[in-house]
Amino acid sequence: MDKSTHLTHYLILVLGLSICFFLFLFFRNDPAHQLWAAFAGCVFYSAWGIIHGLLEQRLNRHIAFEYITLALFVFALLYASLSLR
Amino acid sequence: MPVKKLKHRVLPHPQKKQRATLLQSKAVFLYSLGVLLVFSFFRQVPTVLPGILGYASNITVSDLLKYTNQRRDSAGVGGLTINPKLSEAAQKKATHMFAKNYWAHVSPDGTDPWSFILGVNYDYLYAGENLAKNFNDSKDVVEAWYKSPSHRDNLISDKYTDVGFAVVNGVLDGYETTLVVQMFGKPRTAPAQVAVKGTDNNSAVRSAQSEEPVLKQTAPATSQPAPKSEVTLLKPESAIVGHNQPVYSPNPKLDVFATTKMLILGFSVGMLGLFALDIWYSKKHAILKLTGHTFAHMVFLTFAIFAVYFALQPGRLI
Repeated sequence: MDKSTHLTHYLILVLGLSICFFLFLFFRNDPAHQLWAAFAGCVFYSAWGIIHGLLEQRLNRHIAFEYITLALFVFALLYASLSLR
Repeated sequence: MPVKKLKHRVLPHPQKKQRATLLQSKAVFLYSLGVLLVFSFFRQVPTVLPGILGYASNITVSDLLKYTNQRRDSAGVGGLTINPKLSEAAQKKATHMFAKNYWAHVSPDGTDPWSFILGVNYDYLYAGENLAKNFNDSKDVVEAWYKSPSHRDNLISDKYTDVGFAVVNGVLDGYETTLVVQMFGKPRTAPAQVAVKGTDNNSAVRSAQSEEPVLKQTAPATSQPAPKSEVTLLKPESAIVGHNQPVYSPNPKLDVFATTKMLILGFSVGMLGLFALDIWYSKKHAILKLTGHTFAHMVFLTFAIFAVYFALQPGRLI
């Protein structure tokens, strides 16, 4: 994968996460919607990692599991944080 | 344990082309379970050992009044005085919210804030309500209200002369919560013509010569023939707090909120550090790992850390 494609992929990643983060801030007084924004961010990240791996032709079960587990971990952190508020 | 084995807990493995053990998927999965376990622990312990692990709070009615009047002074409007009837109405509103399990200006059964004010025989010309919940400090509550346009309209309105507060702890939606209710009013003593103009979110005006309140509401645009106010919730527990008396498990040895924040942020930042170490070490030793992109993980984790930091800022308004 050339550098410009790689850069584009990362820009998409940052843009997608920024949108979810913005929604998270926007719904600051509504934890249910905040949780949905967090969930969307985690799903987006897992999907980004898997699609990026596919396009790079280096995706395997372990790599897909790695993105999913990290997304799960982040969701657990945000769920715990929001629930304690 | 051999040093080499210890080393690969935090550094990538050149032969196996793997991440450090502490960053492998299995470990991250266990961290997720650990987070949920610690979270459950923190949810349960305050009820069993409230003196050790609890929610610290230092909200007092006198401080709420002091900071409210400071803001009003700086806005050039007169200070408010505590009205026991409004405080009683605020207390009833807070108790009602816990009993009916809601957090809103208007209850699910349609009871609006003005019902509580009229229920304590406070005959108002103007009335308003602010709500807040889960703040730690009186000043933070008033500052949050001040920063919110709709709450600020009530806070520094020259229409009001009286105020009442309730700081109440209890369980809302299964969570220990501290609610703060601030009710504003101006008694209808002298006959006056009330101009019904402008509509605040949580305020109500009644005609000086009629029994029917003339309602001006902004938020839910329902035409209720009753006064409106701004409601703000503060904290949990079912006890009203008097002047200078801190609410909610005062001075627990460990504050759940602060401890959770420290643990979650500390752990996340530590993990971010391990990922950074992974990139540095892999480059230094030219290790080509068959893994996901470490830099992408770092970007994701950074967003998560900011989100957690934001989520754990105390207090909410409505």
